[in-house]
Amino acid sequence: MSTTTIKLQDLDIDQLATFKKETETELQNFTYSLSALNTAVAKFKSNITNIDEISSSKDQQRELLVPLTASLYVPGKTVNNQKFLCDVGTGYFIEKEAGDAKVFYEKKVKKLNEDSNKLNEIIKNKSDMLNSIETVLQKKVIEARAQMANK
Amino acid sequence: MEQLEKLSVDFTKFQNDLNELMKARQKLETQYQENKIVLDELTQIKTDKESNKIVEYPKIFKQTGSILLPIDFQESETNVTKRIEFITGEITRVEAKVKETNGKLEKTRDELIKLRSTATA
Repeated sequence: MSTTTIKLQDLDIDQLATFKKETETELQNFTYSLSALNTAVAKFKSNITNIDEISSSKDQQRELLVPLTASLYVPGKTVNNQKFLCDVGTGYFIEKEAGDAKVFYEKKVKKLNEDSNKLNEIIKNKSDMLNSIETVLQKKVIEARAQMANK
Repeated sequence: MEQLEKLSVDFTKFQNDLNELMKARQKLETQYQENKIVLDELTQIKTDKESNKIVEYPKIFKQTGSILLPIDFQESETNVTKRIEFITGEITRVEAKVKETNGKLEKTRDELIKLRSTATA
């Protein structure tokens, strides 16, 4: 795709309205992605806290409640509180030592935070653009109305 | 007039086809990225094992439905590599189709424009 610069001023009201709508949809999609990203970051962070919590216990057989369903729990004990199964994606789980597991999730959090920063930048640009479109559109509408009134 | 109608029907059809293909392409990309992450993780383990950083391969499980099945390191590596090969193949296939449909779409559009201008002339 070639990039050509088109001035907002050169577009007519209809085109501006369409463009505005498109930008709004894009902005919405990006905002949605951002919140999904942040949810993922929160999840990974809570994994890290959980690893700390479980592995820091001196007693290997740490007691905890095992969820059978979301509302049914049985008391249980960890057989080994230093080993964790990490979901690495597409249904694969790899057993890792507490330290490695933490590094694994810390890496994920770092990567996602970078992505989230990039996305924030994009969202900022898009909403700036939306603002300029709106300003031009409003000006054009006022001009068009004034012309109608003159006739 | 009949031809014009046929052309616009074709045009809409190609547009829809293209949309579907783009969606499929997007989905494949997501799958590719996810599998790539898994493969990177497995490759890291392999390097660690070969450089004796770790003594044994860690336990690996594959989720099948709602249960976790233990799986060999080698097996998981072959599976993921195969999966990536398959996805890359699919991506090439879909991209070829995108190109083809795009060509058809442009051709129909040109014909439409030509027909319209002769109709109004």
